[in-house]
Amino acid sequence: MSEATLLEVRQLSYAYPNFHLGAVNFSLHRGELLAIVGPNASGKSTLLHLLAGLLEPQAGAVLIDGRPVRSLPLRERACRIALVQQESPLLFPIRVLPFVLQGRHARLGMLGLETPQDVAVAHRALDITRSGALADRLVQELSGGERQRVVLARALAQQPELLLLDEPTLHLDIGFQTELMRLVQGLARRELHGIALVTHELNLAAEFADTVLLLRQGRPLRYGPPAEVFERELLEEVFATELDVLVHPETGRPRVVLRPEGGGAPEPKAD
Amino acid sequence: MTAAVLTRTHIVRVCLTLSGVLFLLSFAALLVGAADLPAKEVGAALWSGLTGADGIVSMEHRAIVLNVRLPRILLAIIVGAALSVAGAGYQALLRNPLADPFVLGVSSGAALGALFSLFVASVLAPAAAFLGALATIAAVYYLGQRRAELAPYTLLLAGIVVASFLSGLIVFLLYWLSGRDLRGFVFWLMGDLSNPPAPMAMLWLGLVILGAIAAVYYVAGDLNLLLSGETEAEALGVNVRRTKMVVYLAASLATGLAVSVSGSIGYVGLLVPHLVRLIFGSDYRLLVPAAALSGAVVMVAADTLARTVLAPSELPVGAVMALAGAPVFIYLLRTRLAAGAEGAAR
Repeated sequence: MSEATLLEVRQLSYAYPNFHLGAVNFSLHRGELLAIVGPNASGKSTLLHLLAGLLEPQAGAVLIDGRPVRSLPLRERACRIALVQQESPLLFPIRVLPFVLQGRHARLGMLGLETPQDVAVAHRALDITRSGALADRLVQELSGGERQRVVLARALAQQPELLLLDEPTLHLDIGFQTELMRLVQGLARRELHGIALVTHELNLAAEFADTVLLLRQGRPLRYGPPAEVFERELLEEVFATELDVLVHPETGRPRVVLRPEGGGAPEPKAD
Repeated sequence: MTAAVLTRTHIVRVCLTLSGVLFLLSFAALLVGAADLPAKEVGAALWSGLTGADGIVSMEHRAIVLNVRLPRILLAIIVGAALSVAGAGYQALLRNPLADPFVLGVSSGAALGALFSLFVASVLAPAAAFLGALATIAAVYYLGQRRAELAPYTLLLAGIVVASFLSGLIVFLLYWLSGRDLRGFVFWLMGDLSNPPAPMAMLWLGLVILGAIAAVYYVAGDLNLLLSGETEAEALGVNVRRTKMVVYLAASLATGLAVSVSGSIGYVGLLVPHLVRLIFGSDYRLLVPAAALSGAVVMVAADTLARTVLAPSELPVGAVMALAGAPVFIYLLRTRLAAGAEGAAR
């Protein structure tokens, strides 16, 4: 079951004026966590929007369970795919529980009000994200870490199969970053969501992701397990800075560190 | 269950309460005016109007209640509800807490349309006002964008500039219309309820505006999500384009019709939705009906003041609303929009 292909991306491309993305190929299984990394303006968020079905591909296809995402009716799409954006500006004060209940919108009737079942789903989403105690608070008053968890809870309330996260650890300190990534990893492992997340934190990607897709200026450079993607020469070229890639002695996963200035030839990768 | 979740019972309870307030206020408004009438006389006049019963009230009092005060109060109810819901709708459509038909220049556009129609046939006034409203909000929406995104302050400035431009055009038109009742026009432009339409026209006006309010209510759940941005809303399953079109048409229809019968009354669309949010929260599924009823309450109160404070002379109700609304606008500008702009910039 965990090996079942959820999302398949074939020869996907997209273009803005002065920017071209593609051609991207990968597949994402249920229970898999994919990290999309790359320098600024490499098309990561655009790719995420394409996966969410919010943009029409210029060519190629995004298939969820074999069906093009853009062919799904809006509401069905929102029941299967959840997107957590970088920032959700809020115009008017809203409490956490009603905010999380917005995730149920696609499952309500047109004038529908949430049923006790919807409320139960929202509470469960809050529990999973360890924010049950926040239910009564105003979203505007939450700290960055709390707010990120609540936004994630709203996405979980959609009960999606595919969860797309755009820089979920932005503005979070290292403690919250790891906590959030553990949570996200748990969602893939235990709830079997397929998860694709965009991040600038190479080491978080290396530590938690099953697969990594490296993009630069819209071109996919490498796709595979972290150890295959995080190669020193490749990363140095992509990020135009001198780096070392070490290997964590316990997990065996790669670690990207800055090379000290004036440092000699990099040591070979530790075993 | 800790935090309050919106339930049908709650919505019904709020609407019944507000309807009760509206009823009592309207009855009180029937009592006061150039001649103060006792409640018993007013009750008898209403009863005779309803049943055709004779001899229970003097003809003079009957005429004051049924032909003078009641139509005016009904008009206040319709216009207040229309402008409040239009304001709430524009606030979500433009994601701007200070949006309101008056501030955005939509009322001026509707007034200009209505004035234009006077050169052709005055029965066209409501339709022309609707078109004027549609064209104005489209222009403001276009001018209020920066790099394809709505910028809160740019939008407001665009509204103010468009409104002043349209006011210039209106004065220009008045030059040709000046042979007619100029004082009447000036009052109408400031917002005035002293010339209610005939009963049948009023019925139609009420029904169409009710339809426009129902249309906004139909997408109320979608509007909640639209407030966090279009991409966000679409990802949560909202048909953004359809929702925006419904609100754009319905709010402009409500504004256009209201302006064609009452002139441009300011600040109702701004003041009322915010008061309702403060008291009942910002969920549009409750906000839309509550704003309609509260708008009616506020307008009946304002118009009653307008026709009693200087009795037997009258103020245009727009002047009363502006005196009350401008300070609230400043308050919101310094609190809500500042907070909203911060939220957007973060």
